[in-house]
Amino acid sequence: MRSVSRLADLPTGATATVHALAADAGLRQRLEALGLRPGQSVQVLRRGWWSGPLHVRVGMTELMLRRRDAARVSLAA
Amino acid sequence: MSTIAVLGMPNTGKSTLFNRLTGHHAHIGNWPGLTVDLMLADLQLEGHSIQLIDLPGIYDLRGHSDDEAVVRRFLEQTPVDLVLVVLNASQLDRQLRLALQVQLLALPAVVALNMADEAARFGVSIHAENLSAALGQPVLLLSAKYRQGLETLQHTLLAQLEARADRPAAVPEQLE
Repeated sequence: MRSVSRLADLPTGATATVHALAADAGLRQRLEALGLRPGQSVQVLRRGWWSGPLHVRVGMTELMLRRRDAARVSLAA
Repeated sequence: MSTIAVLGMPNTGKSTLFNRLTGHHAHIGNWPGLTVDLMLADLQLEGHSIQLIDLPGIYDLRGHSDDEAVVRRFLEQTPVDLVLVVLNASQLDRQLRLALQVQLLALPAVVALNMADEAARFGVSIHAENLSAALGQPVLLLSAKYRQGLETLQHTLLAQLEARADRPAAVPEQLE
């Protein structure tokens, strides 16, 4: 079992807390502007088939996220 | 003539508010150094001539998209008397960030929390007075779509312009 889980691996319907964003400055800033920042609670609403995008909710905002971008969001244990 | 720039995130009803304030009399203007055209309208408020400019919707004043660069260049090059920050009231938890960035740049601003009707429907209640005191800027709840709070907004814009009538229009010292 891995100690660090990623948003990309969070099961559909589950909720977790954002731990850190391991993204470059541009992506990190965009994710934070959309509300996805450390300490925030995030829920996966649905996911695209195979490696399709994730539909997530952060606070009052819902957004679609590429799977590879979601893999850069680590979750608190 | 005073200049007010309208700034907000995408999907906040920013352009609806712009159209409500200007009565659809907007035309296209261009600015030196900007490769895009911006919507521009002249309006008269109680004898005061105001030029209102609709900036592209952006998430972040420090962001890396083309639109974000356009807004930064505009604010660096164009002295504005006031920035009207338009936020989606129901997503204030993340959108407040943009108002804080404007505050950090020491630009004179009025914060309009649009879609107040929708926020109320989602059970979001906002204490505009407390928020205004904390930001040091007027904060107004309104609904551009349902034409609620527009008169109060116009009075607030005028009052802010008059309060700083003897000061030059502002250009932020450092945007990045």
